[in-house]
Amino acid sequence: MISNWPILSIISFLPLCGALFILLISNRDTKEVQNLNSNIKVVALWTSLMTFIISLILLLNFDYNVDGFQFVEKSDWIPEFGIVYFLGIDGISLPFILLTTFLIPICIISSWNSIQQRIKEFMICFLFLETFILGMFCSLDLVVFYIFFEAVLIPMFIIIGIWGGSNRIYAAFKFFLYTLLGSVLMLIGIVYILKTVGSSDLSVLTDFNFKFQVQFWLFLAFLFSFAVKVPMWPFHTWLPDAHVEAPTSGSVILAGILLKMGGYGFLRFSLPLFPEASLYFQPLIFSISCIAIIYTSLVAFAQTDIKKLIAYSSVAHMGFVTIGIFSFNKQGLDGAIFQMISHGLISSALFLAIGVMYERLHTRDINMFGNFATKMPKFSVFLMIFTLGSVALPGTSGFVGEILVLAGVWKASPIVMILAGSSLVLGAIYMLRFYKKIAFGDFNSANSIDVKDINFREFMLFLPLSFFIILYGFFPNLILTYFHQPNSFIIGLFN
Amino acid sequence: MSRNLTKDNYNLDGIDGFLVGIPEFFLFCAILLLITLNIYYFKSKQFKNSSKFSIFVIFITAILVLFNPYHGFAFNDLVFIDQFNKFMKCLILLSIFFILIMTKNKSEIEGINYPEFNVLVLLSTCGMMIAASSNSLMTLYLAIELQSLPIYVLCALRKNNLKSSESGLKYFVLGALSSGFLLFGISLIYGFAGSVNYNDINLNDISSNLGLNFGLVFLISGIAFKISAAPFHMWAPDVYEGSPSPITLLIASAPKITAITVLMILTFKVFKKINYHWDDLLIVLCITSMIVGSIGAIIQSNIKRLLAYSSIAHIGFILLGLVSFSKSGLSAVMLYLIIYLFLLIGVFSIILSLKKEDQPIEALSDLKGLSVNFPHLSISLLIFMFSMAGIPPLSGFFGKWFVFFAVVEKGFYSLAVIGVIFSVISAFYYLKIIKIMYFEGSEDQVVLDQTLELKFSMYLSLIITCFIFLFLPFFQGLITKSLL
Repeated sequence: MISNWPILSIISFLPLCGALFILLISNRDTKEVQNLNSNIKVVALWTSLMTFIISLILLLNFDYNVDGFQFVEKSDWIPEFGIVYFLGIDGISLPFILLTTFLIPICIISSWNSIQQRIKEFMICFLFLETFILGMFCSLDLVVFYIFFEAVLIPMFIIIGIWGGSNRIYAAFKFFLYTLLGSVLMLIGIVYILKTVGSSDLSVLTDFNFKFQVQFWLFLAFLFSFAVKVPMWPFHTWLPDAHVEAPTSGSVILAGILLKMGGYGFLRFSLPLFPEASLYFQPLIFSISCIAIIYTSLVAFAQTDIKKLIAYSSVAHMGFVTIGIFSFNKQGLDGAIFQMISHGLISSALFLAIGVMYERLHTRDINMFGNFATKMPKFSVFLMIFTLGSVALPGTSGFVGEILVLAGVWKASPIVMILAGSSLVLGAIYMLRFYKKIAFGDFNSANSIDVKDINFREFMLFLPLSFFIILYGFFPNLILTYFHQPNSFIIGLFN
Repeated sequence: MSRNLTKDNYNLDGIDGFLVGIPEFFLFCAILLLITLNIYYFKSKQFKNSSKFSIFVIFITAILVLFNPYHGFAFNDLVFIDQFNKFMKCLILLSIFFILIMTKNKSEIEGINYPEFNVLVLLSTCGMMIAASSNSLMTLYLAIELQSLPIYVLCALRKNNLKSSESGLKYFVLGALSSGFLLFGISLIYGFAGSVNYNDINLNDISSNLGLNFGLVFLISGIAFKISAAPFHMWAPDVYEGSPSPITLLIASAPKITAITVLMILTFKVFKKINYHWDDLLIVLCITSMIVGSIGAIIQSNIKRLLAYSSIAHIGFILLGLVSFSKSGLSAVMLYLIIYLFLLIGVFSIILSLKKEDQPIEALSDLKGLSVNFPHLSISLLIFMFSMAGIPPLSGFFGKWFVFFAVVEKGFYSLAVIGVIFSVISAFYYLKIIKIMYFEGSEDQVVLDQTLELKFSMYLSLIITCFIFLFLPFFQGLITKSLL
């Protein structure tokens, strides 16, 4: 029965309704500002929680043995161009949707006290962001996908620009213009596809065989857009700036979900539509990914700003994702998607932890921290779990993703595997140094300030994240089963 | 494609010819009546009354345009009316309608509290309507003069303001020069093609005729001046800045729509046969406009100067649609005009509703802190800016989308790439406005003075900008029905 409902549209546009509802909360009565602000927060939280609950219904009704897309909704939009409003999910998009609906409430809770001004605008921005992200993961029409893909820039620009740090304007502009330049080239590719095929419906496009020459250019156009989003070296320079200046919740959503849009785009469009060009460009992707992994790991080691450190480590981890995707075999693809989900959990958790530290000491300089193990024991335990997840210790979700990617890429190119594998060591070096400095550092200025351990709200933020990081470390099949059908379809294209 | 029908079938002589021109005749009589009324009848509240009267006149004219059943040639083939002309005339009348209602209660603060304002606007409208339906280069020239002369006066309407006078004079001198170009081009075409009438211009054995090419270059230059396409854009920033805001809106919208209509008719109908003489010229205009518009606007600190450069960039995109010489290019341009018109109306409705020390706001820095003081206004301006930058799902994106579709369809990939790159560059200064409103400290001297009409215009254009994806099938249907 439930499959007859337009459940994907409901999930996608429910946050939008919440945002409109918040818009209606009037702030004419200046006396009750406190009351008003808490109303706004509660409405935003409930909206995002409701979205999460409905997305759980999606999970319960999803059948991972079925080939193709489920919960499909289709209706004409601009018929003369062959553009349809086409939503549907498969085993690849489902985990991302759940990750999004899971992280947004966490973001809202995390900014409960840290956002003091313009709370109304902040919550509206976040709910808009959720709508656009969910719409992007659900859409199966190139044009609809592009619209959501690029619309994400608007709320993110505002979030960085208004609530960011001291250099926020530069970071917001860089983020916006960089990603816009990447995606407009994809726009031309999409227009070309529309012109040649006469439809932007994904199910029509996958049956259409482009000539190699055409695939070559189209793949490049899409690559620009996705490479900036992933971000792949050398297009990653916007990421450290955006991460450092964004507010905590902005960094969480940026690292947790926005970085996955690029990888998702590769899986959904680049590989199925341009298989020959993908194969042709495999060496290029492998080499820039290897450079990304080694180079950014070294750069991360040199950072004193902890947010920048995690930002560069994200680039290295996303390098694993692109290697996995372009190894074109089951282990590689499974590992890449798993790595994206696990990185979504781990890096979000790390940014939340940095937010907690920043609220207490108002600095992000790694040398200013120390001795947290005695001052904030509960916090240090959580930080330990997240750090080890990032290092890819067996038993955490980070391990599963990286080992699968390495196993997959071994089949494609052993040299790349060895180069990429070096990141396991390099990652351990900078992450363990990070943890050592913070938890066991020497006496320093932090010692003179009285810091409180995490409160109940923060505890509840970290608990589910660390639970899932460990759970998926021990039972990776909880997610991996969903990838089987879509991945075997992609692999089928390459054999 | 009613244009392809032979002229004998559609030639309307005698009384029928007059019936074709009913809207223009009505408008002209109404203008004469308005002058009389201004002198003898509207004693108190002169501006408001004449404003109300002109709004009513525009409304009736629009109805007459829409429901006039007579199509075809009239007045010895000097005029031609079909669905396309009607569509464009409605667009022109729509923009005039919004200009009039937005000015109604704003004449004093803008320093244009003279009832002649309405008379001049209506006169110019009359010229635009005739230009849009002209079927002869002579009619075209006269109509464009009728359209331009009242606007020169309107620019200088703030008599005591130095910049206003300067802008009027500048516009007049350069406008007269461009009219000279136009006339010179027309005379050359007359000499080498044998006629000024669109039906009789003979292009059969003159494909390599230097004189005709010269004529075409002059003709295009004259029109390019009217749409302020670079390198004929020099007047635009100064005139935009100096003129009172309602006049700036007028200059930015209606005459440009008219000139684009004329350009469409000339390229798609009259000189289509020899389009290889045109298209390089248009491509140059289009690329230079995008470059000048995108880069010139970055350093501007005056709102209206910035809008002038942004309009140059938008004209570049519109020309991009024309360059494709295809049906989809034509409909893309028409859609772009609708979208751009509503964006302009929205932006100007916001500019008009703010004042600082009883003067209209001018500098970009006056928008500082708008988001704190007037959140509704600033969120609307934010949406308009993102839309102008072409970010989905707002209307500007769809305008650009259809233009790019037409360009790629023709195989002009490099043009499309240039277009998107300059659209990213121009996004920078739209973001700059958002930055000033949202990311910077506040300026408390700016006060809100939003009349009901301004509110209406703002929310209407906001609805169209945000929910364009719902209106698209409707607009598309309208455009396909009235395609040239």
